[in-house]
Amino acid sequence: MTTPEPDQAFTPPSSNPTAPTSFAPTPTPPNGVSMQHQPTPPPPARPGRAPIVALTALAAVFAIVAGLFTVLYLGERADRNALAATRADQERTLADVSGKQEEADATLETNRSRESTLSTEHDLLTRCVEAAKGYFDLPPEQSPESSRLFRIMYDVCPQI
Amino acid sequence: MTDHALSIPSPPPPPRPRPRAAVVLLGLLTVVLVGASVLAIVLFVGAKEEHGLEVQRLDQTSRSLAEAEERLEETESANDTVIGRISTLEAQNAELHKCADPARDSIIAARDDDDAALGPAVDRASDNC
Repeated sequence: MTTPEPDQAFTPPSSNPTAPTSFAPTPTPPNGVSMQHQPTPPPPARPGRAPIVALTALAAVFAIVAGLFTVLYLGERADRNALAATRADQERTLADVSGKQEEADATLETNRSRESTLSTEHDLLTRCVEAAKGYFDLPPEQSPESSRLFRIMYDVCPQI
Repeated sequence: MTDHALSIPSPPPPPRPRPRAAVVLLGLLTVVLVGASVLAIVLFVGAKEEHGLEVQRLDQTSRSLAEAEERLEETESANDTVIGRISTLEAQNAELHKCADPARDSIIAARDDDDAALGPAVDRASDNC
């Protein structure tokens, strides 16, 4: 009679439906003791790899999507920063132009005022000179024309 | 003795791999990557909108700059014109003063009965007018 070794687990008859049941019976030895060697159970069914494959594919897709949009985001940000730098340059130029515009407006105003003064002076000078030229072109004798011209000179020339 | 079916235990099966752990890890990784993808997409959309706004702002600034430069050019042109007219007036007035000043001096001397000043002033006026 054979007893199992103490360090070996006793395997009770399996009721596992997956276990094969149609093994060829082991011939009984002459002493009547059946030395049936229980067949090694088949390796457990390999777990389905489908979830792993699907999750791996999904992770790869999302990794690609994340990488792609990260690159696109960085590109957009770089473009925006370049535009912002250009705009900052233009705004500085605009500020310079505005300053020059104020100076030009002030200069133009000053020059227009100066032109107005010169124009007024020019009118007086012209009237005075025309009267003086006419007066000195006349003969020395007093005449109505010389009196008229002298009157103009008297009124206009001292204003110069 | 009766027949006894004594089975000899087979060696213990090798430790089963733990596919659940891999599935869980992959699931977590996938969730993290989905989150990263959503974040990257949101950031990209935001950056794209900001880019569009920046383009509009740049266009506006460019237009303002062009208008300001054009206005400055017009002002400087007008200023140059006025400066030219001033130069002409100054030259004309300088020429007119040659006659007008002695004429003025003559009138003032005559008005003030300043005979000493009247004679030379009339002479200069007669020469220059």
